[in-house]
Amino acid sequence: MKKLLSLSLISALMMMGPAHAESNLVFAYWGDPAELPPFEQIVSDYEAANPDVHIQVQHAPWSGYFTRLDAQLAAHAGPDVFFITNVPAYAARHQLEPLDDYIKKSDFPIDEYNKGALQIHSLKGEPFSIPRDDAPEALYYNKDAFDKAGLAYPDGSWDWDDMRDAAMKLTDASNGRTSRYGLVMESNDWPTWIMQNGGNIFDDPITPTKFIMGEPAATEAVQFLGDLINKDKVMPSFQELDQSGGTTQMFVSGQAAMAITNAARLGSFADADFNWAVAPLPHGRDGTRVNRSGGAGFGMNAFSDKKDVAWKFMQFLCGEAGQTIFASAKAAAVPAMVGNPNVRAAFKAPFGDVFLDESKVGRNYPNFPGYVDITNLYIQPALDLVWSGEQDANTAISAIEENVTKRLADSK
Amino acid sequence: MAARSKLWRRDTQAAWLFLLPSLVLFIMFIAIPVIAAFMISFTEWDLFNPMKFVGFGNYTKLFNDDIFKKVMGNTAYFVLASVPLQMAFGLAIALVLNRNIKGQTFFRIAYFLPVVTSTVAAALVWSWLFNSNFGIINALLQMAGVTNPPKWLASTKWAMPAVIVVSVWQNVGYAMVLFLAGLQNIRTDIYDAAALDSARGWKRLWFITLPMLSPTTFFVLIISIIGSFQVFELVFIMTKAGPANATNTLVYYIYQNGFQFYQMGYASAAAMILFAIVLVATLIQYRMQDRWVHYG
Repeated sequence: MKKLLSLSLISALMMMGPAHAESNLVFAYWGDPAELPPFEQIVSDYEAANPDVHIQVQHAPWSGYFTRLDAQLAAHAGPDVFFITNVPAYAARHQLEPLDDYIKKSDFPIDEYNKGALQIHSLKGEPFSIPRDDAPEALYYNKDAFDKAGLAYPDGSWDWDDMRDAAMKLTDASNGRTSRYGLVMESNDWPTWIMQNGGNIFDDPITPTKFIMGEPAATEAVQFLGDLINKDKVMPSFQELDQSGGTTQMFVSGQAAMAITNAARLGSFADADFNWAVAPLPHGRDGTRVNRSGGAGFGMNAFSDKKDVAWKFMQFLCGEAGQTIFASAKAAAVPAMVGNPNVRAAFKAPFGDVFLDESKVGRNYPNFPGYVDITNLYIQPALDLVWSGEQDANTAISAIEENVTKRLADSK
Repeated sequence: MAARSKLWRRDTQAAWLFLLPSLVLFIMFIAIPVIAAFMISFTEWDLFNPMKFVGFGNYTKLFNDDIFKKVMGNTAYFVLASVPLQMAFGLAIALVLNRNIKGQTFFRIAYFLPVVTSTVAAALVWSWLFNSNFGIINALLQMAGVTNPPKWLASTKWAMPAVIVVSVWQNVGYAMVLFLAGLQNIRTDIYDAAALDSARGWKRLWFITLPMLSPTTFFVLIISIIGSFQVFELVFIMTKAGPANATNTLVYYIYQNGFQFYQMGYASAAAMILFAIVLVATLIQYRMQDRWVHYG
């Protein structure tokens, strides 16, 4: 009797097994809640069309995403397909699968992508991830706040000083407490200002030979941002901004009248209980228009054991289907596949033209394998001193020149 | 004779059996990684490409690394400030709560609560308290007439004191509980004898309580020093080692090199230095204990 029971139990267990071969793919990405719907749609569309593939999603907010991903990759584990930036560093560590062969084998339309974006998703000319978007910043502004202050709305004619003047008039401070800042911006956007002032960080963003951030054109721009925080007091320190929920939270809650950030915020700001609009980024004092180029992309784990299944999913995710979904999402991403007319037509985001125009003046930020170390060890600490008002830009940056130059030589 | 040795052998076997679970865990998760880290510290290794033997290269590089020097200074600052503070407050609270005061249990729980609170949650709440614009600490300082209160976590001068405050707040309860246990172990007849010799108040504290408590004090000291050298979560959540490396401590720097820059050899060398420092500090404590620790 007992034997019979266990026998039937075993056979019952066996019948519960999968009816056909299934593949489990792990797909990881970051994003604010408002940015998630297109990812979710892509996953469910793909699963509906490919019932033999199950996609397990790993989502984390931006702030925690890379801590986890780095630990997973260090253990030769982690998601099969993941959202990624800083591609050359990961590629140089052989954590990303080189995509050249896959692209050739499947005739993937790589020529339809934004050239600048492709450049930073490659190492030594070979693509290691497919760019999803170009992420130029624009100037979001609270129209109600402008009306109340009797200020004209920003337009393409603004330069740095126009922006600063407006920010000063929009800042609301009393008793040593600021209840509304004139302006907030992302903590990693400072290179845009350096380039608008005719300077740069290195002589070349991809193959640098010289650290030139100590030149006046660069230090002047860094000082301008430092002064917005400490002298004019129209912008919170980046540390305070981070604690207050970042640009999204500060702008939506009315604690900042202007926010410089990317198109993904269109979704997050949709629920704001005031009127707002988007204007082009202010240009440099001599009229130079520069914006940051290149956004995030999707790469394949070099340690994945299902690379063919992963690539098949990536063709959907990164190709016309996925790009159309991202382009038409509420939290829009300026599409990277700009050469594809269907994708281009799907990008109907409000103020989409502003972002597409900004995309045209995009220039790459430094993006080479040793850059993560150099920023973390030297550039960021030096900038901290400027942002906290403890040193002027010139002193802080000249103090790191020697170390950065040495590190740059070592990293080759 | 034969029977005795048989019994002895059986006892030993039983002892090994009982030790086995923790021994296996110790070997797997402590002994092997420590030995591996020691060997890795003589190599250059990014986890992905083959290891390259570099001898003492990582160590000489560390001693010429300006950031490492700063990190060592920060760690010393943190240890020297937080250990005496948490011990002094822990002892003071324990002495007060050792008396029969009203709400004794409530206060014991209240002071111990931070120890069992998630460090991450506590660090997040504290960083809001320290926020220079809307934080309550600066609001109070301004009410008290301070016109230009510090920017705390955004300032290279005040970020470390802020981290130390949170660390002391968090660890004081643990020291308190240990001191309380130590205080309750002091035999009352010693106090009775002291009372006969008319030793009261401060005299009683200085000549009876503190010497009798010294084994506990010794234990708390060693635990606190080792714990302070390993500060990580508070820094990770509150400051990310910033601003300008002002709160970068040894364990954080090890983490940075290992898991952000993928320099496992360099990180392991720094870990070995941490190990050596803690070992030497503890050995010195043991040597010194004859002078002040009394095992009643």
